[in-house]
Amino acid sequence: MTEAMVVSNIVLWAIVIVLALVVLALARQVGILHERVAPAGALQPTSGPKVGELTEALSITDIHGRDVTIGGPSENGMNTLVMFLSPTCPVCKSLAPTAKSLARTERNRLELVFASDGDKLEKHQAYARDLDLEKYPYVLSEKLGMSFEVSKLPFAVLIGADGTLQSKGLVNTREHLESLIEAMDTGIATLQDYVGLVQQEHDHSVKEKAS
Amino acid sequence: MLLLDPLIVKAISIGLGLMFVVTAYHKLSEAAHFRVTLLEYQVIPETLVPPASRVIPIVELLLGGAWLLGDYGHGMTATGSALLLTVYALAIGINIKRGRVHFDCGCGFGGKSENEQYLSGRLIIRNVVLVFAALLTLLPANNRILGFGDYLTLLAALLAGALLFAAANQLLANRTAIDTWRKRK
Repeated sequence: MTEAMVVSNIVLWAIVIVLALVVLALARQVGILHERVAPAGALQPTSGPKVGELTEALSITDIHGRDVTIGGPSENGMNTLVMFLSPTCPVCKSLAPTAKSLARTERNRLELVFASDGDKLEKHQAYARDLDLEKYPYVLSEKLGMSFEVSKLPFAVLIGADGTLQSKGLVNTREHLESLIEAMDTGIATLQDYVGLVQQEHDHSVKEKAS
Repeated sequence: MLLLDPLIVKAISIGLGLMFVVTAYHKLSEAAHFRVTLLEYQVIPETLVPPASRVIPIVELLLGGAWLLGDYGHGMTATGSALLLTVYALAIGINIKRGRVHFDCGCGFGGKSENEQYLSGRLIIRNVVLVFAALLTLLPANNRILGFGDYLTLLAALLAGALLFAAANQLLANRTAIDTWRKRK
């Protein structure tokens, strides 16, 4: 009996040490990943309304028969995230739940609206049912897409509570969607602008030191 | 009254001893780096930084040596260590309060020097845990004689403990790295 306990103890210790090694290795790998993977942002097209411009209010009846106003100063002080998608776009299917989860985490300042175009109402209704989007407004409007010059899907537009365009872009991942909100919070429109800003500050300080 | 097993006291003292010796070695071998860190903390006058940067590693070395040799100096080693670790935690706390968090804490020992770790409240928690471990040795222990098997257990426990401590440190550093690009209130 004692012998069995001794053996069991040795085996257990060996396992504990190996496990501790694995935990350390995993933690290190996560650390290295964070160093290597730089943050990425949504791809912002140069055409269409510019960030900071006032958007035009557009009243539309959505596919569930509710009236929705998109753009213009909001009455309840909420920001609006308009996500353009289509039943024929495969990426949209995987991104719709992501947009919902983001809207949940930011629910006290963000309203989510889905937008698409076309005239096959039943098809969009079935699509919204499939993806469980019925809680959110889902509008069909060619005019809305035209006004933001949406050419590729999935595309997202973030309108501030004051009705100005905060950010927009082609989104493929949750990180891209979050970058829109980050752009609104920091006031820096794109990652390129941010890098430019840092570069400028750096140049400035180098010049200061040289003089 | 419940008495502590001497094996636990032994494991804590050797663990803390190794930790102090390693950090002291780290601070002595990169003396210039440590001076900068001490300066960044801005808790002691600038003129006192060079002498303090010499004294701190020596104090750590003495404490580490005392732990390793099992010289508890009637509880002096434990209280001294707890005091030093509390001072570190206070220095970190003061700087978090000031909002000065973007400098290397000088506490990620054993790692590479380019692996900087910024200040965070979690480092204070880490130090509090270490203080508790140090003070635990002050509790009365029974005088069981340690045998060969106990030393094997001690070795295994130290090895596992060191690995888990390093993993915890790495996770702290990861968390702080994530926080630098995601500022969530």
